[in-house]
Amino acid sequence: MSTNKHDNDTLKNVHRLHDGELDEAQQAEIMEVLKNDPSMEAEARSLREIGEGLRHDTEEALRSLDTEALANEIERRVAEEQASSRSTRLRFLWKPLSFAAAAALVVAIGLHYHYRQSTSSWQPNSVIVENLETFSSKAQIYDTRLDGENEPVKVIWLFEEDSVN
Amino acid sequence: MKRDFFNIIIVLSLTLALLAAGSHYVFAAAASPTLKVQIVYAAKGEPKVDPRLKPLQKRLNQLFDFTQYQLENEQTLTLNVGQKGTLILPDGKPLSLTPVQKQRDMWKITLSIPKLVQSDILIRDGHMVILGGARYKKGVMILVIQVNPDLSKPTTD
Repeated sequence: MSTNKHDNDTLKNVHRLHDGELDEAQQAEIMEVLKNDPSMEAEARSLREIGEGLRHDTEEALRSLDTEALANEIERRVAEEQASSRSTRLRFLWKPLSFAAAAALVVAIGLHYHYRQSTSSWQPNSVIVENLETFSSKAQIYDTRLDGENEPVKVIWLFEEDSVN
Repeated sequence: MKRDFFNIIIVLSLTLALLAAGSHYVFAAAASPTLKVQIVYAAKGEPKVDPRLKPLQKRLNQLFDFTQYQLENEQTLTLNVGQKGTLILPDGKPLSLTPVQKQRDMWKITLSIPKLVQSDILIRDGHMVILGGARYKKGVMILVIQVNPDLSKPTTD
Protein backbone atom coordinates (compact mmCIF):
# COMPACT_ATOMS: atom_id res chain seq x y z
CA MET A 1 0.00 0.00 0.00
CA SER A 2 2.82 2.34 0.97
CA THR A 3 4.70 1.38 -2.20
CA ASN A 4 1.66 2.20 -4.30
CA LYS A 5 1.32 5.55 -2.58
CA HIS A 6 5.03 6.24 -3.23
CA ASP A 7 4.57 5.38 -6.91
CA ASN A 8 1.54 7.61 -7.16
CA ASP A 9 3.38 10.52 -5.57
CA THR A 10 6.35 10.02 -7.87
CA LEU A 11 4.08 9.92 -10.92
CA LYS A 12 2.32 13.10 -9.85
CA ASN A 13 5.65 14.82 -9.34
CA VAL A 14 6.85 13.67 -12.73
CA HIS A 15 3.75 15.18 -14.33
CA ARG A 16 4.27 18.42 -12.41
CA LEU A 17 7.92 18.42 -13.49
CA HIS A 18 6.86 17.93 -17.09
CA ASP A 19 4.28 20.71 -16.88
CA GLY A 20 6.86 23.14 -15.43
CA GLU A 21 5.01 23.56 -12.17
CA LEU A 22 8.04 22.94 -9.95
CA ASP A 23 10.76 25.33 -8.95
CA GLU A 24 14.45 24.45 -9.23
CA ALA A 25 14.71 22.99 -5.72
CA GLN A 26 11.68 20.82 -6.24
CA GLN A 27 13.02 19.74 -9.65
CA ALA A 28 16.35 18.74 -8.08
CA GLU A 29 14.55 16.81 -5.39
CA ILE A 30 12.43 14.94 -7.91
CA MET A 31 15.47 14.15 -10.07
CA GLU A 32 17.25 12.81 -7.00
CA VAL A 33 14.30 10.59 -6.15
CA LEU A 34 14.10 9.31 -9.70
CA LYS A 35 17.85 8.66 -9.85
CA ASN A 36 17.67 6.53 -6.74
CA ASP A 37 14.55 4.71 -7.84
CA PRO A 38 15.63 1.19 -9.00
CA SER A 39 12.53 0.75 -11.13
CA MET A 40 13.40 3.90 -13.07
CA GLU A 41 16.93 2.70 -13.62
CA ALA A 42 15.61 -0.59 -15.02
CA GLU A 43 13.17 1.31 -17.20
CA ALA A 44 15.96 3.53 -18.53
CA ARG A 45 18.16 0.54 -19.25
CA SER A 46 15.33 -1.15 -21.10
CA LEU A 47 14.72 1.96 -23.17
CA ARG A 48 18.40 2.25 -23.96
CA GLU A 49 18.44 -1.34 -25.16
CA ILE A 50 15.42 -0.77 -27.36
CA GLY A 51 17.04 2.35 -28.81
CA GLU A 52 20.26 0.45 -29.48
CA GLY A 53 18.30 -2.30 -31.18
CA LEU A 54 16.42 0.16 -33.40
CA ARG A 55 19.61 1.94 -34.35
CA HIS A 56 21.24 -1.37 -35.23
CA ASP A 57 18.23 -2.45 -37.33
CA THR A 58 18.12 0.88 -39.15
CA GLU A 59 21.83 0.72 -39.94
CA GLU A 60 21.41 -2.83 -41.22
CA ALA A 61 18.43 -1.82 -43.40
CA LEU A 62 20.31 1.14 -44.84
CA ARG A 63 23.34 -1.03 -45.53
CA SER A 64 21.25 -3.61 -47.33
CA LEU A 65 19.31 -0.99 -49.38
CA ASP A 66 20.32 -1.01 -53.10
CA THR A 67 19.57 2.61 -54.04
CA GLU A 68 20.57 2.16 -57.69
CA ALA A 69 18.17 -0.73 -58.17
CA LEU A 70 15.44 1.25 -56.48
CA ALA A 71 16.06 4.26 -58.73
CA ASN A 72 16.02 2.01 -61.80
CA GLU A 73 12.76 0.47 -60.72
CA ILE A 74 11.14 3.88 -60.17
CA GLU A 75 12.37 5.05 -63.58
CA ARG A 76 11.02 1.92 -65.27
CA ARG A 77 7.61 2.33 -63.70
CA VAL A 78 7.42 6.03 -64.65
CA ALA A 79 8.34 5.18 -68.26
CA GLU A 80 5.70 2.46 -68.36
CA GLU A 81 3.11 4.88 -67.08
CA GLN A 82 4.03 7.52 -69.66
CA ALA A 83 3.98 5.02 -72.52
CA SER A 84 0.61 3.78 -71.44
CA SER A 85 -0.74 7.33 -71.27
CA ARG A 86 0.63 8.23 -74.75
CA SER A 87 -0.74 5.06 -76.25
CA THR A 88 -4.18 5.84 -74.87
CA ARG A 89 -4.01 9.37 -76.25
CA LEU A 90 -2.98 8.16 -79.72
CA ARG A 91 -5.77 5.62 -79.78
CA PHE A 92 -8.17 8.41 -78.88
CA LEU A 93 -6.87 10.80 -81.59
CA TRP A 94 -6.35 8.31 -84.37
CA LYS A 95 -9.92 8.10 -85.64
CA PRO A 96 -10.85 11.80 -85.62
CA LEU A 97 -7.52 12.68 -87.24
CA SER A 98 -8.07 10.10 -89.97
CA PHE A 99 -11.57 11.37 -90.69
CA ALA A 100 -10.42 14.99 -90.68
CA ALA A 101 -7.54 14.24 -93.06
CA ALA A 102 -9.78 12.27 -95.41
CA ALA A 103 -12.44 15.01 -95.38
CA ALA A 104 -9.87 17.72 -96.04
CA LEU A 105 -8.41 15.73 -98.93
CA VAL A 106 -11.84 15.24 -100.48
CA VAL A 107 -12.60 18.96 -100.13
CA ALA A 108 -9.23 19.90 -101.63
CA ILE A 109 -9.66 17.53 -104.59
CA GLY A 110 -13.22 18.74 -105.15
CA LEU A 111 -12.21 22.37 -105.07
CA HIS A 112 -9.30 21.68 -107.36
CA TYR A 113 -11.50 20.08 -110.03
CA HIS A 114 -14.26 22.63 -109.56
CA TYR A 115 -11.76 25.42 -109.95
CA ARG A 116 -10.16 23.89 -113.07
CA GLN A 117 -13.57 23.33 -114.56
CA SER A 118 -14.67 26.90 -113.98
CA THR A 119 -11.55 28.40 -115.52
CA SER A 120 -10.92 26.11 -118.43
CA SER A 121 -14.34 25.23 -119.77
CA TRP A 122 -15.75 27.18 -122.63
CA GLN A 123 -18.00 29.99 -121.53
CA PRO A 124 -19.56 32.20 -124.18
CA ASN A 125 -19.74 35.26 -121.97
CA SER A 126 -16.24 35.25 -120.63
CA VAL A 127 -15.88 38.90 -121.60
CA ILE A 128 -18.72 41.43 -121.50
CA VAL A 129 -18.35 45.02 -122.67
CA GLU A 130 -20.57 47.61 -121.03
CA ASN A 131 -21.01 51.37 -121.29
CA LEU A 132 -18.79 51.70 -124.32
CA GLU A 133 -18.11 55.30 -125.23
CA THR A 134 -15.83 56.06 -128.11
CA PHE A 135 -14.69 59.16 -129.91
CA SER A 136 -14.01 57.25 -133.11
CA SER A 137 -16.45 57.37 -135.96
CA LYS A 138 -17.51 53.78 -135.46
CA ALA A 139 -16.86 50.95 -133.03
CA GLN A 140 -17.56 47.28 -133.37
CA ILE A 141 -17.55 44.57 -130.71
CA TYR A 142 -17.31 40.94 -131.65
CA ASP A 143 -16.34 37.55 -130.24
CA THR A 144 -13.97 35.16 -131.81
CA ARG A 145 -12.99 31.63 -131.00
CA LEU A 146 -10.43 29.52 -132.76
CA ASP A 147 -11.37 26.00 -133.73
CA GLY A 148 -10.57 23.60 -130.93
CA GLU A 149 -9.95 26.38 -128.46
CA ASN A 150 -11.82 26.87 -125.25
CA GLU A 151 -11.40 30.54 -124.56
CA PRO A 152 -13.27 33.04 -126.71
CA VAL A 153 -11.83 36.50 -127.13
CA LYS A 154 -13.75 39.74 -127.22
CA VAL A 155 -12.54 42.33 -129.71
CA ILE A 156 -13.36 46.01 -129.58
CA TRP A 157 -12.38 47.60 -132.84
CA LEU A 158 -12.37 51.33 -133.25
CA PHE A 159 -12.61 52.58 -136.78
CA GLU A 160 -10.83 55.83 -137.31
CA GLU A 161 -11.07 57.77 -140.54
CA ASP A 162 -7.90 56.47 -142.04
CA SER A 163 -7.40 53.34 -139.96
CA VAL A 164 -6.30 50.23 -141.75
CA ASN A 165 -7.93 46.78 -141.80
CA MET B 1 7.80 5.08 -81.91
CA LYS B 2 5.95 3.65 -84.90
CA ARG B 3 2.73 5.18 -83.66
CA ASP B 4 4.44 8.57 -83.28
CA PHE B 5 5.63 8.42 -86.87
CA PHE B 6 2.18 7.49 -88.07
CA ASN B 7 0.67 10.31 -86.10
CA ILE B 8 3.09 12.81 -87.65
CA ILE B 9 2.20 11.57 -91.15
CA ILE B 10 -1.51 12.05 -90.45
CA VAL B 11 -1.02 15.56 -89.10
CA LEU B 12 1.18 16.51 -92.06
CA SER B 13 -1.39 15.16 -94.52
CA LEU B 14 -4.11 17.13 -92.80
CA THR B 15 -2.05 20.31 -92.87
CA LEU B 16 -1.16 19.91 -96.54
CA ALA B 17 -4.75 19.17 -97.49
CA LEU B 18 -6.00 22.22 -95.64
CA LEU B 19 -3.32 24.38 -97.24
CA ALA B 20 -4.27 23.07 -100.68
CA ALA B 21 -7.94 23.76 -100.01
CA GLY B 22 -7.13 27.19 -98.64
CA SER B 23 -5.02 28.14 -101.62
CA HIS B 24 -8.00 27.67 -103.92
CA TYR B 25 -10.06 29.99 -101.78
CA VAL B 26 -7.23 32.49 -101.78
CA PHE B 27 -7.02 32.45 -105.58
CA ALA B 28 -10.79 32.47 -105.99
CA ALA B 29 -11.20 35.37 -103.63
CA ALA B 30 -8.12 37.29 -104.77
CA ALA B 31 -8.73 40.95 -104.12
CA SER B 32 -5.96 42.16 -106.38
CA PRO B 33 -6.28 41.14 -110.02
CA THR B 34 -3.21 41.01 -112.19
CA LEU B 35 -3.66 42.68 -115.56
CA LYS B 36 -1.29 41.84 -118.38
CA VAL B 37 -1.24 44.43 -121.13
CA GLN B 38 0.53 43.85 -124.45
CA ILE B 39 0.80 46.76 -126.85
CA VAL B 40 1.17 45.54 -130.41
CA TYR B 41 1.91 47.53 -133.52
CA ALA B 42 0.21 45.97 -136.56
CA ALA B 43 0.71 46.94 -140.17
CA LYS B 44 0.63 45.58 -143.66
CA GLY B 45 3.74 44.86 -145.71
CA GLU B 46 6.39 42.22 -145.84
CA PRO B 47 5.34 39.51 -143.35
CA LYS B 48 7.15 39.94 -140.08
CA VAL B 49 6.01 38.78 -136.64
CA ASP B 50 7.77 39.53 -133.38
CA PRO B 51 8.77 36.13 -131.91
CA ARG B 52 7.45 37.27 -128.52
CA LEU B 53 4.00 37.30 -130.07
CA LYS B 54 4.14 33.66 -131.14
CA PRO B 55 1.53 32.60 -128.54
CA LEU B 56 -0.86 35.16 -130.05
CA GLN B 57 0.05 34.81 -133.71
CA LYS B 58 -2.62 32.30 -134.68
CA ARG B 59 -5.34 34.39 -133.15
CA LEU B 60 -4.04 37.65 -134.63
CA ASN B 61 -3.86 36.07 -138.07
CA GLN B 62 -7.42 34.82 -137.72
CA LEU B 63 -8.73 38.20 -136.59
CA PHE B 64 -6.87 40.67 -138.78
CA ASP B 65 -5.43 41.10 -142.23
CA PHE B 66 -2.19 42.58 -141.02
CA THR B 67 1.06 40.89 -141.92
CA GLN B 68 3.41 42.62 -139.53
CA TYR B 69 3.11 42.47 -135.76
CA GLN B 70 5.60 44.05 -133.40
CA LEU B 71 5.35 43.94 -129.60
CA GLU B 72 5.93 47.55 -128.58
CA ASN B 73 5.52 47.10 -124.87
CA GLU B 74 4.31 44.58 -122.34
CA GLN B 75 3.43 45.37 -118.74
CA THR B 76 1.84 43.52 -115.87
CA LEU B 77 -0.10 45.47 -113.27
CA THR B 78 -1.39 44.11 -109.99
CA LEU B 79 -4.06 46.49 -108.78
CA ASN B 80 -6.33 46.64 -105.77
CA VAL B 81 -10.01 47.33 -106.19
CA GLY B 82 -10.43 51.03 -106.98
CA GLN B 83 -6.74 51.50 -107.72
CA LYS B 84 -6.06 53.03 -111.13
CA GLY B 85 -3.12 51.74 -113.15
CA THR B 86 -1.88 53.86 -116.01
CA LEU B 87 0.34 52.98 -118.97
CA ILE B 88 1.60 55.45 -121.51
CA LEU B 89 0.90 54.18 -125.00
CA PRO B 90 3.44 54.60 -127.79
CA ASP B 91 1.43 57.52 -129.20
CA GLY B 92 1.70 59.29 -125.84
CA LYS B 93 -1.87 58.74 -124.69
CA PRO B 94 -2.44 57.26 -121.23
CA LEU B 95 -4.29 53.98 -120.89
CA SER B 96 -6.01 53.69 -117.50
CA LEU B 97 -7.27 50.44 -116.05
CA THR B 98 -9.18 50.28 -112.76
CA PRO B 99 -10.59 47.13 -111.18
CA VAL B 100 -14.03 48.14 -109.90
CA GLN B 101 -15.28 44.97 -108.28
CA LYS B 102 -15.51 41.22 -108.66
CA GLN B 103 -18.93 39.95 -109.70
CA ARG B 104 -19.05 36.23 -109.10
CA ASP B 105 -16.07 34.99 -111.08
CA MET B 106 -15.70 38.05 -113.30
CA TRP B 107 -13.69 41.16 -112.72
CA LYS B 108 -15.23 44.46 -113.71
CA ILE B 109 -12.49 46.68 -115.10
CA THR B 110 -12.91 50.28 -116.18
CA LEU B 111 -10.80 51.04 -119.24
CA SER B 112 -10.11 54.54 -120.43
CA ILE B 113 -8.01 56.25 -123.10
CA PRO B 114 -8.79 59.96 -123.15
CA LYS B 115 -10.38 61.22 -126.36
CA LEU B 116 -10.53 57.70 -127.73
CA VAL B 117 -12.52 55.21 -125.66
CA GLN B 118 -14.01 54.50 -122.27
CA SER B 119 -15.79 51.32 -121.17
CA ASP B 120 -16.51 48.86 -118.38
CA ILE B 121 -15.35 45.36 -119.18
CA LEU B 122 -16.36 42.25 -117.27
CA ILE B 123 -13.81 39.54 -117.77
CA ARG B 124 -13.15 36.10 -116.30
CA ASP B 125 -9.80 35.08 -114.92
CA GLY B 126 -7.45 34.00 -117.68
CA HIS B 127 -9.48 35.55 -120.49
CA MET B 128 -8.57 38.43 -122.75
CA VAL B 129 -10.03 41.43 -124.50
CA ILE B 130 -8.47 42.99 -127.56
CA LEU B 131 -8.84 46.69 -128.20
CA GLY B 132 -7.61 47.91 -131.55
CA GLY B 133 -7.97 50.33 -134.36
CA ALA B 134 -6.24 53.44 -133.13
CA ARG B 135 -3.89 54.78 -135.77
CA TYR B 136 -0.19 54.44 -135.05
CA LYS B 137 2.72 54.96 -137.43
CA LYS B 138 1.72 53.37 -140.71
CA GLY B 139 -0.64 50.89 -139.13
CA VAL B 140 -2.68 50.49 -135.98
CA MET B 141 -2.16 49.87 -132.32
CA ILE B 142 -3.66 46.74 -130.79
CA LEU B 143 -3.97 46.33 -127.04
CA VAL B 144 -4.25 42.80 -125.65
CA ILE B 145 -5.48 42.83 -122.06
CA GLN B 146 -5.63 39.68 -119.93
CA VAL B 147 -6.90 39.32 -116.38
CA ASN B 148 -5.01 36.96 -114.08
CA PRO B 149 -3.32 35.20 -117.00
CA ASP B 150 -1.65 32.68 -114.70
CA LEU B 151 -5.01 31.29 -113.63
CA SER B 152 -5.68 29.69 -116.98
CA LYS B 153 -3.76 27.64 -119.50
CA PRO B 154 -2.04 29.49 -122.35
CA THR B 155 -4.54 31.02 -124.74
CA THR B 156 -2.94 30.03 -128.01
CA ASP B 157 -0.01 28.11 -129.40
